[in-house]
Amino acid sequence: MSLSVESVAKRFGEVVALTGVDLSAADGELLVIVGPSGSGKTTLLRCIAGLEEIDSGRVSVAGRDVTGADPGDRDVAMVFQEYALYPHLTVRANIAFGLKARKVDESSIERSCAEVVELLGLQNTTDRRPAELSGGERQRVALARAIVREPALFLMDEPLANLDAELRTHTRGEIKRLQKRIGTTMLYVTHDQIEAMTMGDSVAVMRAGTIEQIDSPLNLYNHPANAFVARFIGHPPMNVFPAEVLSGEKRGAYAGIRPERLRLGDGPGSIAGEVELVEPIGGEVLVHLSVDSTRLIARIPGDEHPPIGTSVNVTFGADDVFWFEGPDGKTLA
Amino acid sequence: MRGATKLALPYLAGLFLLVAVPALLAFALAFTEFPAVAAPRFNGVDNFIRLFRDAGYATALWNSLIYLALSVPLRVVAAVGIALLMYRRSRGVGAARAAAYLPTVVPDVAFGLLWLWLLNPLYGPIPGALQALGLPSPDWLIDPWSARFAVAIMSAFQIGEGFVIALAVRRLIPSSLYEAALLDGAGPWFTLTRLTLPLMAPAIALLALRDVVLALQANFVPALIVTDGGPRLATTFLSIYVYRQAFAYFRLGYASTISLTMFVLTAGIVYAQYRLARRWRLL
Repeated sequence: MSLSVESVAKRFGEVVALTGVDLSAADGELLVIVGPSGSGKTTLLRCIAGLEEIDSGRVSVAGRDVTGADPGDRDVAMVFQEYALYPHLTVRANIAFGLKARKVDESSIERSCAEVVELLGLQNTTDRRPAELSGGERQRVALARAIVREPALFLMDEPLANLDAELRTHTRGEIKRLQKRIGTTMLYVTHDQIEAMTMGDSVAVMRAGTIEQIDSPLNLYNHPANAFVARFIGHPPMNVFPAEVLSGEKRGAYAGIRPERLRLGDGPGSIAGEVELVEPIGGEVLVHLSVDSTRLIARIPGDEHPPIGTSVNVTFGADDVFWFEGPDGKTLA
Repeated sequence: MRGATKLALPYLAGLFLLVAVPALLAFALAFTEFPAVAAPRFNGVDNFIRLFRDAGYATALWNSLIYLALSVPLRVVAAVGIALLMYRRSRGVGAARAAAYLPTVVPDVAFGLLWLWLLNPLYGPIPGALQALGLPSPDWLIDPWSARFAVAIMSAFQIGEGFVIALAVRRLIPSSLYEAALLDGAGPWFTLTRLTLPLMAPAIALLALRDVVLALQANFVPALIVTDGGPRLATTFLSIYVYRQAFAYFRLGYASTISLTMFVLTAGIVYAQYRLARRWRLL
């Protein structure tokens, strides 16, 4: 295992940030940690990096216990959300900084920097300072600075958060390709579930300092462990509502149907609702429905535009319904 | 008239009356013989010729340059050093910062008298402490070089403004840069020399520029109160020399000529520093 986190707990005064987190990543794996703001994902990353001291538990990197080790002795490299490039240094000096700090000889530094500069296509920027770079170039310099040290583990803290939508889509593909090419284990933190699904070999969903589920992206989508994971993975979020809405089935439980599984029209067990809002998103339309006091969203083909205020029926397949113990409860068999 | 100009008017008026007019008058007086009891009399460049033959002026210029070389680095290092020690918020740091700033608000004369007591070879706490520790104590106010050092050391305690500027600049450096350096394996010395000081360099350069201006003028009170220009003229700086020429010997014209050379000297050094700072891309 490249990374092993065992029962890691962390508090900031009275605030509990992490409660007994267990996590592991195999060699070469790209593990994404996803969760809402304040769920503890960045804290977990910082604890693994050694930037925060843990209250209890154990962190191992490449089979070595690094729980009490300094950040520089953990064999990890981190890419920060704001990139944290040294503003007074050129791109080349930024990339070489860690090697110089470790007293690597000049010829090796020169060779390593040249390789990484070429790998990331930074040839035309090496003598520029961070202020003279675009957002995408800064992001690549931050990646280059991490890669050049050849660590056992990459830690990425929302590295795409400051990029525009188009560049973000492009860069997440680049990072994934790069990670596969280098073959180094990567722990990638994001709050964006699409980023998590598209990038991760496996994805850990966090909430309130705990990991709710770790699985492959498709398993998270198809077999969520609980209603929280079911809602968090998928866009728009899964409709989770009291089971009584579905003709009084499984009283006390909660039902969940993904918006893309709802279709307009009649069928067995269909639900009648009033159209409250229609949101065209290009090829598809999001239809917000009111069913008594429950609100549902249906994601339907773009050519269907039910008028607001009209009554429509929505239908779904029996296999499309998930059952949960409660609004955030475990998935029922 | 715009609001900002109106607000600046009282200051500009004061600046004109109290700085610009006296400076222009001093410039004019530099070309006169003005014994204070009679009207100034134009004497061309006589005062400047006299400067070149005046051994007292050469000594004062030499002393000022030595003081500059001692006090500017000392003051900048002290201001930046203390700021780096105290930039973190923790218990007692507020009091320590106040203590670091406090000597700056003590009136110069009181500050000078205090040091006269601190350095007194018979009962002063500093010689006493050095002797108690078994360390040699120089003849602070008796030996020429020790006296020069003493005045420079005194100046290193009145660094409140430089300290506050350095503190603010250090606090502006994002903590993520230090975290990145930690992960890069940078030790404390590497971080200080490759990250902190380069990032603070523009502010340090400005502090140095400002201290050069101060060093040629602000040594007047301590040199007068503590050493009275001695021993053996070792602390007769240009400021003291101007004062003596003007108010002890009533050579106001000649004193103005010396002031003019001080102005040119200050401007020259500041310009050279500015050019260096620009070349190093600090400013």
